[in-house]
Amino acid sequence: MHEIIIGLVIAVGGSLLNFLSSKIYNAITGSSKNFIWGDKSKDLKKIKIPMNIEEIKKRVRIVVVDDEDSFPVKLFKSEGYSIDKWNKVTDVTYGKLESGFYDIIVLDIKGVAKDISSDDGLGVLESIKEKNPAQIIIAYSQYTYDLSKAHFWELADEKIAKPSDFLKMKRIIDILINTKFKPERYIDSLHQILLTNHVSEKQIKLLDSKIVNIIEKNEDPNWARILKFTDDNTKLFAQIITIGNTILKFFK
Amino acid sequence: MINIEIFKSLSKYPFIYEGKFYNSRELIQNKSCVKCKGKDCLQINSEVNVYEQNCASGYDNVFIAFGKNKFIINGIIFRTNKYISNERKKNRKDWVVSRDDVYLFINQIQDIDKNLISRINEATEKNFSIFHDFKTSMNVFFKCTEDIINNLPGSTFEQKLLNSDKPFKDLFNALELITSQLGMIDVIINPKSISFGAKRAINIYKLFDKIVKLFEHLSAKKNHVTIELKNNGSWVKNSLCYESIEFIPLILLDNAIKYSSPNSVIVIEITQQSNKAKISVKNIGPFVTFGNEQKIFEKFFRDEHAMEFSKEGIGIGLWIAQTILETHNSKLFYYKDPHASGEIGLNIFEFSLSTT
Repeated sequence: MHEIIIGLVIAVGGSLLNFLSSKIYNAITGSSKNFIWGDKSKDLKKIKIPMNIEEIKKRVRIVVVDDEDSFPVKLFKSEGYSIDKWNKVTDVTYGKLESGFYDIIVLDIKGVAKDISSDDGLGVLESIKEKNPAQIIIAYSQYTYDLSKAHFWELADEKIAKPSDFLKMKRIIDILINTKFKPERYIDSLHQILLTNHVSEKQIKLLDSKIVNIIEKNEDPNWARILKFTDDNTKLFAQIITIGNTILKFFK
Repeated sequence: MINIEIFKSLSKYPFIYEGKFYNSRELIQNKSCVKCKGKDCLQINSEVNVYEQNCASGYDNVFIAFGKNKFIINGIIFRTNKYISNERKKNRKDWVVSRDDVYLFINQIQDIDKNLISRINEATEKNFSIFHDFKTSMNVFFKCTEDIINNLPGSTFEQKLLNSDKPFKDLFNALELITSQLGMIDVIINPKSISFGAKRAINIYKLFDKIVKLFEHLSAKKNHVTIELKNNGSWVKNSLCYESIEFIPLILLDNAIKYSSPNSVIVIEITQQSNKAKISVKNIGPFVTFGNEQKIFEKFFRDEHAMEFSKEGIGIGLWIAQTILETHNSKLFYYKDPHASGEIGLNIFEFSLSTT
């Protein structure tokens, strides 16, 4: 009997010691080791997308912001693309661009955002890229020859000169979808933003795990609860939500 | 924008431009600089626009860059200079200047540069407003053509075009040609547009093949010239290029057709050589005049033999091609048949592109 009690005490004590050691180790190193010293953090990049690339292509949301009707929206629609056309960006619609609702923004430089930016299309491009560097933006304009508009073209992910034929436009958009519309790219961008804002590696892993849990449980994210660590940094809070929602779109 | 002529007319100080020493209107070159054997001032270069450096003899030199144009105000002695003895300062008193005065001049000339750039931009915008209107009209042409093709039988646009008759294909090809030609006008006005957009994998063989098909009926009409595209059985790999690379086959073929003798053959050879695709375009036509082999790549230069042979052209194509290839770390070379005599014979334009 005496031996059994000693055995139990040793087992319980050992387990407690193991538990406390793993907690202390995690606190010091920032790791996520569990009771049996296995890594319990979930790697966001290892989650598989439940769709093939063709399905993803059809789900990509595109918006064309152009004060003229030169973009062949009808042709793109007939080929199965999900595409909207706006004549200009207003205070109301800007939020939709900023939120990452659209995966690809095709943006003209002139006559599309005079009401919200003195720099017109360039102002919109700069502002969106600052808030969400991962947002795919195609510069679409007749002004490729204009020396003063060089920054507009340099800042964008791609360019389509106006006028261009449909097949050329389609080829450019397909290449962008195949090369840039990937969850890994958005995850990298999210990590980069977090690191730039001095968020710890441990916190980043924790955030990744929480996003993985949301994907696995197919839940809606409670960002306010998840992003408590951002404290009063509203810009960072908004950036994470924008890119986080874009990542989640791939798995819905 | 500040070039040698402007700098020369404004500078109060002697200076160096492209390795050559210039006097200013007010001050000639320092005698010590003229006699100097080391001339280490010629090596001064910097990433920043304004940079100061003392030469081995202790004189002050100020490097000033205006884009590609780089000037060095040389052989001056700032009043605060500690490397030049007072005795030498007395002997060279004309070159003793106030540092503040030099920087006042630099600030003034930088302001002139900014003003010139903004004036040129304004003028470009005004002059090319017609070009803008032309592009707007072209939009209508593009839309109508695409609507016509879209009404043909087929499930996708590409299929509809593929199944269509030759006139439809020619019409669509004309659109592609117009897109490229408009792009080339952009490059003439704004060479920066060469590197707009992202680099993407492009197969130079396929690109030439596409342009050859576009040009085939044009070349047959003009002097009955035929085009042969060969790859000598080698598979040409893709290259990572800007969209502007599409202008290269367009320019070289357009030139070759323009300057080909009647009933001759233009031969395009594209081969894979280790990690590069080597491209050569050969045609029988007028040789470039001796001594002008490099000048043909300059903006608005037309060789006299070329002008005699064809009135078309403003001497811009090869400059565009060279500028685009330089952006892709490549270079276009011109060779002529070394054994040929007379004014007409084999001309070769050659370049290579790194492949992935």
